[in-house]
Amino acid sequence: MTITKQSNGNELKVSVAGRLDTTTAPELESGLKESLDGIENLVLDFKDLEYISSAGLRVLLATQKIMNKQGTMTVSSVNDVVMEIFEVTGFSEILNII
Amino acid sequence: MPPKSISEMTVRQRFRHSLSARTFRTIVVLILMISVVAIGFGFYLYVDAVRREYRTEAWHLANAAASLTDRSEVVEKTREILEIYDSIPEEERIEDDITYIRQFVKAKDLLFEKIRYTLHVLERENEAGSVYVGAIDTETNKLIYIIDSDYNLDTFCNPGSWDENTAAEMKVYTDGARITFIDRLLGEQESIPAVITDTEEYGHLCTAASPLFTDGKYIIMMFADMDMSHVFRVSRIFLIQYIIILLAAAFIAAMVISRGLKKTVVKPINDLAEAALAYSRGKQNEDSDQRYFADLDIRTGDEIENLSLIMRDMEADLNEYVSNLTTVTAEKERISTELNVASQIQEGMIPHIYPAFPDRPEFDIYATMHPAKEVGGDFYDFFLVDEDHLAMVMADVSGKGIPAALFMMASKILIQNYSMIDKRSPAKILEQVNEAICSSNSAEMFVTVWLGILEITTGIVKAANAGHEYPVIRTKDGDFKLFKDPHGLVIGGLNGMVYREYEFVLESGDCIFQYTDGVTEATNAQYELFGTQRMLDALNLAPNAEPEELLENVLSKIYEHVNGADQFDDITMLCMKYFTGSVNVKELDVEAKTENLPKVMTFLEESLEENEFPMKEQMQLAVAAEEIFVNICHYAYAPKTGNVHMRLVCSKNPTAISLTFIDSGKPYNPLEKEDPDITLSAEQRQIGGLGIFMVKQSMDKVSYRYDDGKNILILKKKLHGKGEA
Repeated sequence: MTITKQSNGNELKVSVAGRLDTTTAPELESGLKESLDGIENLVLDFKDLEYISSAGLRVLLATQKIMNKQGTMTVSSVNDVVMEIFEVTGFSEILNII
Repeated sequence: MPPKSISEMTVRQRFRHSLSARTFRTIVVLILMISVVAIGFGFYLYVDAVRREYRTEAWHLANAAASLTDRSEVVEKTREILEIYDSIPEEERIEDDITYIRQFVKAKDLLFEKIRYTLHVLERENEAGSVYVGAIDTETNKLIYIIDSDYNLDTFCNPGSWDENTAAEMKVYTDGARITFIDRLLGEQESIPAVITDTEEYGHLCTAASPLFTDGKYIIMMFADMDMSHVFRVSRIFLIQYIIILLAAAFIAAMVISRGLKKTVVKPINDLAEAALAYSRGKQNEDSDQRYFADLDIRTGDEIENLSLIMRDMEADLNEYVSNLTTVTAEKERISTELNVASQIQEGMIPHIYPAFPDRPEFDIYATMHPAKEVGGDFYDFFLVDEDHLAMVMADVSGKGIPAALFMMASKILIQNYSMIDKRSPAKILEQVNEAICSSNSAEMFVTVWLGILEITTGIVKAANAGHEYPVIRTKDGDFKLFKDPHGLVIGGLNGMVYREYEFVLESGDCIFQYTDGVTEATNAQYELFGTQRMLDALNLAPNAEPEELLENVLSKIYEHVNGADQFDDITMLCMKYFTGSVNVKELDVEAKTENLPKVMTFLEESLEENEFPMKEQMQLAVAAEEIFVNICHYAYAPKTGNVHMRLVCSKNPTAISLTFIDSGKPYNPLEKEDPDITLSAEQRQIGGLGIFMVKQSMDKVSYRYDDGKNILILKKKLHGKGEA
């Protein structure tokens, strides 16, 4: 999994590529934690995300809870396979997916 | 309003309704009524007798006075006085007028006093009011006093004074004058010339007259007055005393009788009522040895004592009955408990853990038995005879209950034992089982058996049928059809039976279905059988379904058909689906550490690519596998680690994946975890529980069992066929 961060003032765009599973989820979680201070607008770009498991969902939920307090969070470019997982787990209702 | 029972009444109502109070009132009223009549009648008789007595006495006294006085002297004196009376003109005759009275003074001489004295003696001796000579003026009905015996100046009647009398009274006297001596002898009492008067002047008097002589218009008579005032006074007092005594007597009698009644009737009845109440309360408390009636001591020597004795006997009988009933019930409960245990043992004897052979992807077998109310004789069985042979048994023992259950156990064990010995030939196995059973079948029981042995590598099924139902087979994507196999005689029927063996070949995806007559003979309220055709239709609803689902389909159709009607036979079914050689099995042993997740993922990806599994399903399987693997890593051996054995079986036609995880960690069923509520908002959502939920959602079937110290979790995913759950 590779994480690319693009920061612009209080805006942060994080692109996640590859597999977001039990082994890689902690990496994303710590990567986000250190950059979220003062961020009001977070965009998660999942264009190249191939795979997500419940560990990844857990990070998304935790991040969403943080962003609910300080701004907005958007998930973009979700592929069909990942989208289905969002739908099955009810995450499509929680996340702002574009 | 319905009548209250005694126990519901207030004290006042209870008293009013009590037998003794009622008796008391009745007796008082009765005695009073009788007394009034008796007093009235008695008083009437008494008064009548007294009056009669006084009349007679007065009459006798008058007669005596008439006889005892010198007639000539009386006549002489009377004429003298009457002459004076007649000589005074009518208007000058003023009663109590001194001038008038004085005119008679000259007549009151010695002779007058002599006669008067005689009369006075008579009066005194007879306690009469007075005795006097009087003349009745028949024209005016006046009674003119001539000589009065009374020495009391206040009441003395001067000669020449008179009383106005009624004509009726005068007639009594004058009629009396006509009474003859013979009449008197004959005692013509009715004609006693006596009159009873009650005047202010003289009080209550009885006056009788005895005729002396007549002189012109005058009838001269000897009168006797008897004073009755004191008699009536005495009788009034007597009457009052009599009434008081009667009232008291009535009250006392009523009290005594009601007391007696209370003791002999009311109290025993109340005792009986209380005993009955206590008895029924005791019954509610399940007191089995009650002695409420037995403890009663009623000795009235009448029907009530008899009733209490009968109640005592009834209580004893009931106690005995209850205790018998308790014993019988306990016995019944014991038998029922034992039957339940027997039924559990019976059910435990037949395989019921699924998937039965998780290590064998070449076939999927499922069987169910829904027993009717009691333990029955249906059974199914399946077991691996060796690595390449699966034996399937479907059997039905004649009869029901304990005998059938015992016979079933014997049959099941015999079939399995002989299958193990004589592995390949169902006919031979059945023949030997038949021999064994016939040699010791004193109860003349029998069992129908279908025995099939599948050679797993080739799909060849050898089978023999000892009087059981036709098997149902589905081949090559066709319909389920009855397979009319050759039948032999039931096992236990005849010694030395020979069974015909037959064989057929299964290809991948083919299915065998076996059942007992409880399926085809399931009956609805209209006595309509479920029948073979309905059974085949139910199977063909979803012919591609897994064995478990096929059986569920049949069962739900049976329940639909019988519609709640009681079933008398067990419903037993078995279904085996076969997959042939195109099965691809991959295995991996890995240490339970999350760091090994990439290894697991790689294993999975490679295996699935090899089987040309589409991307979406690959992803679902990968997610599911990750969740299960991570779960094992976290919980199975924590805090240590251990081995996880993974087996991936991919079968073709239809393409299906079966992924098995086996670990030797702590027993833990992740499927029991409650599903998260996925409708909650981000703030309310709990982190966790999602993984297993995702597994359940994306897989066709997830099963868990703990067997032989191992957690066995199986994921199944199909590519075609029924849609995803």
